Amino acid sequence: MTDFKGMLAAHNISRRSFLKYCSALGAMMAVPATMTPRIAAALESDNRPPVIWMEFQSCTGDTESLLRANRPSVGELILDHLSLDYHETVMAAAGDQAEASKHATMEKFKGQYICIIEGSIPVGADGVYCTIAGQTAVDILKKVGGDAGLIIAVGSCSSYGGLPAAYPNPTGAVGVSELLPGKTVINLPGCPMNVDNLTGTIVHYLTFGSAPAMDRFGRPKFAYGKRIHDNCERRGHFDAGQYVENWGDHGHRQGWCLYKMGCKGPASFHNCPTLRWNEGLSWPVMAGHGCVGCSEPGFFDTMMPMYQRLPNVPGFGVEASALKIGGAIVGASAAVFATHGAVTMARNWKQVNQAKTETREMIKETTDAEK
Amino acid sequence: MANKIVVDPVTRIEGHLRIEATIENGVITDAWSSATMFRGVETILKDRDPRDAWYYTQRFCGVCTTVHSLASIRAVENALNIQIPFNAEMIRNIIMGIQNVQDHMIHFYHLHALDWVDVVSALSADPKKTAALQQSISPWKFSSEKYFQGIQNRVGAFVKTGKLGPFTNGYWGHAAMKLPAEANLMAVAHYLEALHIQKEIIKIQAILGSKNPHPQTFLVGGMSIPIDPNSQNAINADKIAQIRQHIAMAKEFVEQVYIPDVLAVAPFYLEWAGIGGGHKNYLSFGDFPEGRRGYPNDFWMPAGVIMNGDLSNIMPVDQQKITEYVTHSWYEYSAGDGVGKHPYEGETNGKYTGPKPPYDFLDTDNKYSWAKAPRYDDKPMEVGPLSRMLVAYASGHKEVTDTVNLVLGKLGVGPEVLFSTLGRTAARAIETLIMVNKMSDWLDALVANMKTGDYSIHNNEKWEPSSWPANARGYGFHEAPRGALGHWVVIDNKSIKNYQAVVPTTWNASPRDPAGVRGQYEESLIGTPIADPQRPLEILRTMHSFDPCMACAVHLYDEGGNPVSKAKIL
Amino acid sequence: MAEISGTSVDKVEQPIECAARRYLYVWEGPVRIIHWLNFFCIIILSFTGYFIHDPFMSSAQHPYIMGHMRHIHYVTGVVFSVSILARLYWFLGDSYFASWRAIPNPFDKNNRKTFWAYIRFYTFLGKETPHLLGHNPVAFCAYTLLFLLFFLQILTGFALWAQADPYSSLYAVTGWIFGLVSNQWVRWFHFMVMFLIAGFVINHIYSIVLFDFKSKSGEISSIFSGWKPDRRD
Repeated sequence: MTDFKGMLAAHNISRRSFLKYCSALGAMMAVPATMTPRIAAALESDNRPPVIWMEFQSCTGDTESLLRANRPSVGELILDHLSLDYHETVMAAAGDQAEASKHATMEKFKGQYICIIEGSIPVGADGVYCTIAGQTAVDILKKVGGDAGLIIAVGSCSSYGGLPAAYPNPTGAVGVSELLPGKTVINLPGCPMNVDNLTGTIVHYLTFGSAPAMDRFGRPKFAYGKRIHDNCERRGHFDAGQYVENWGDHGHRQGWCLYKMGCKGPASFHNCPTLRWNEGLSWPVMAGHGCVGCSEPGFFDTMMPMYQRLPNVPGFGVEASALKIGGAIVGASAAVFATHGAVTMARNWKQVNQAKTETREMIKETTDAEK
Repeated sequence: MANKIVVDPVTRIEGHLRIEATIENGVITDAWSSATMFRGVETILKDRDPRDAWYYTQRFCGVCTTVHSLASIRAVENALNIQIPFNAEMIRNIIMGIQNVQDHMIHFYHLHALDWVDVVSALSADPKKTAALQQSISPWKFSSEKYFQGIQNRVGAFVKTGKLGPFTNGYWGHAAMKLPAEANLMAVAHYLEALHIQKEIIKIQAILGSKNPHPQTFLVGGMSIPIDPNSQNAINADKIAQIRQHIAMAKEFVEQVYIPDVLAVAPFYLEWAGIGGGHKNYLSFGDFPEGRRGYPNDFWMPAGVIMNGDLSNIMPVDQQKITEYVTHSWYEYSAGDGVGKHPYEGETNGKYTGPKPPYDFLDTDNKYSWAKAPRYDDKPMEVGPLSRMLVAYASGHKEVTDTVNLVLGKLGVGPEVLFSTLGRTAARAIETLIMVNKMSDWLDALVANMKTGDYSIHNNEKWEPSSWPANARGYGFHEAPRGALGHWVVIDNKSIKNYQAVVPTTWNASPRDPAGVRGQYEESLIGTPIADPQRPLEILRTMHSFDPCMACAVHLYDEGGNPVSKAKIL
Repeated sequence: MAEISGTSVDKVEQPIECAARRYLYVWEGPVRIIHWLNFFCIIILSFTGYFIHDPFMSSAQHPYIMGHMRHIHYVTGVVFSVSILARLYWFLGDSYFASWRAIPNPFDKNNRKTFWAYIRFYTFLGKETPHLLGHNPVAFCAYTLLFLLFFLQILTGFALWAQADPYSSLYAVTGWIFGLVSNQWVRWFHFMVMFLIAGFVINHIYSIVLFDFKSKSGEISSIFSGWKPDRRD
């Protein structure tokens, strides 16, 4: 452990602040305070786990998110905590040298290395929509993922297909878990993923030796166990009925609820409101734009249009909101029965008139008789 | 004897790039650049709400994470004829500005530096001499012997573990690595410092844009970040002070580290001022509107076209002259692959005809890339910081001219050296410098306008689709960190009918056109010496000087094509 | 099945002769109570539900308007669910007109004949329908469909409610829905079904008024009193 202590000293980090960091990490992962020493032990261990980070149909947003890491920072992650043996965006080697590096790790640490996947995998047209070193992403994933000890899908694309899988999914893009049935895949959706959830997951794995508890969509509960809406700093305005009606209006400037501007916080499970982004600085709702629901499967289709509460009715065009079509259903129903009533009246007009006349005659007769 | 080599994956870039090159007598004689990943975002955009498009296009790229959202909202604003409030214009400028600064910084230190810096050699450096070197080039605060000793120990301990992680199989000890050990150690220190600085300064985007990567406060018609000095939920004096602090931090690092580093390293690699020039055609769309008339008026960074390196003739940009070819791209045109199409008419059907994976070589005589071949006036163009700096320099832009002359003077060379691999890297540094100095002007303009009581951030007039014409089309341009970016949108019946983006890396990474003229990457590689074909570091240097961004480069609008599968309703 | 040839439009000219010989107790107390409970629940749920979708009033009208609307929506949802369960219990019980015994039998020739007679009547193809005391077979199908919608509303409603706590037993029971469709589509569905129910209400009111006129057997009043005149010859 001397090396690690040396490193802490080199970073000007006291033992005390290090333990504080560990307990903060523990709090984020919702583990009891008694676990702090175990977390510290996991971080101090000299056995930096090898990591192969593959990028397929990605925009590199998750890698950029990684570069914003602060606990530990990306420098510390790379030098002290992980052995990032393959990551196309940061690695020094290229071409054959890069491939060699990957294969060495896969052989030497078979069944042990951490495999992190960014970007969806196109299965259409036999996988030609994404190739690296002449091999398809599908083949690479099956090899790299198949021999990994832990698989983490970072971002919505690798978790559920994300943007490339949005309708009509031109390349047949899928998420990692669809191609690795039977393997445990930890999904860290988000567009991009919040790096603090990645470091939290890795530290959880190093600390407890197992993957964190996950929900039905393979998301760790410590990060995706609650709805944005239920944690939102603007929730009070929602319940009170204080809503932003126009961008830049009084309510918008006063931080009122963005519900009417299409915020998808009520439909999204993510820890943005508590964790926030860029070291707790802000997050979309705080900055005045509604949540887009980026941590939910298929959100590029289900959470859109972005500025409406609900998806449009499929097949009726951009302006076919649920309300308009719903109103049309009621209107059509009213029209059908109004017509039916009118036709019925017309068809029975003769009888009705006859009955009226007879009734009048009867009344007259009765009255006359009484007289 | 010609020898064909392949670099795939080209790393330390965004996305998936493959280079094939033939080498004769240690010099590259021909090259092919291939984009090997495709997503089809434009197909996905069809029939969606134009107001949502920016969120999709933003995901073209997570590195230049703001640029496609800006180009997209500008295209829709252009189509619907929306003028945005001055405040929103300034906020966009600040977001764009810091994007450029941070992106260039990451590029130089984390994507490009390892082409020039030998990390392993840093271990043999003398920390005392390194400290002296640092102190001689700038007043930067981290310059003590003890500091460099600490860095060296840290790297030493790291190397001793035997697990080099991302530095495994780097080009350490390569004949083309020429920096002295001390300069290498200093660069390693700056590599680590820049990792910290970049995540700090980009917080400006978190403040104004909610988060980074992929800020989320863009709106067609303005921005969604409220401003109000008397609200705790809006941009107020405190938030402005935070932004100022981050600008100051960026300025300090650029002035005291980035620029001095470029000036210190460049003399060791001056031969690269004669390599990698390529076609010498440069295109800049211009950007950063400063006046009250709003975009696209009163650009701070001028627009223009330079042909054949002729700086005396700056031509105006005419978007009508832009066409895209697919002769060597895995797409089909209905009217034959020999014709060029303007983006409005951009009709494309993806069709892979390359070798069946796994393959060793592409069929470079035919189609070989997912990137299309954009041409301006039928000429391949280079876009990026170099194009912007050259256009601004030749147009007599004061800040640019002064800074370029200063840098060239210090290096003792003329402007002709800019047409090169080194020139690209230098232009990027120069741009970062003038940009970081410009940022506070935009912030000041925003503050001054707030002072007048104008808190408007969004033009609501055309927000509701009911206020739109049935049909509209427009284009939006933006000068992204990697160069001239254009989005074209055709709106039909209030939804997107056609969406096309011609992005910087498509210009630069373009394959050949019908006339067989190479793209700029390909042309730039011609004549590059390769010391060791097994370790083609030199290819990386020129490629990295462009700062490739492949995910942006490849996209497709597929009107008649058959989607591979239907989306499930999730 | 109370299928008896009865009064028809052509007998309208003899109104006095149409007087009932006696009254039958068709809709028992619980049926009527549940009907009206459902009526009020649907009104309240639709109003509050619509408000939750589109808050057309703000804190200016009431200081905690969304909180209260949601509260009312949830409480009413529970009452509605109990009411629907009670109706289900009654359906399985030993009443006649309001129970499973009134299900039209598609294998019975007479039943089919009656069904098609009503279809012809509704589509103006025929003028004659057999007089029935309980639900006519077409109406019965409509009500079955309606109750299916009720069940879906209750299920999706509780599933959406459970999202507030994915650790709850309510979520354990209903969460499977989100494995089938995303919660946005569940929400969308919950909203759209409201309009289908509203469309049904229009149909329902129109039809009872129509048959109240046509058969003069107290279609409207019976849901208040329970009694219907026996118009069997």
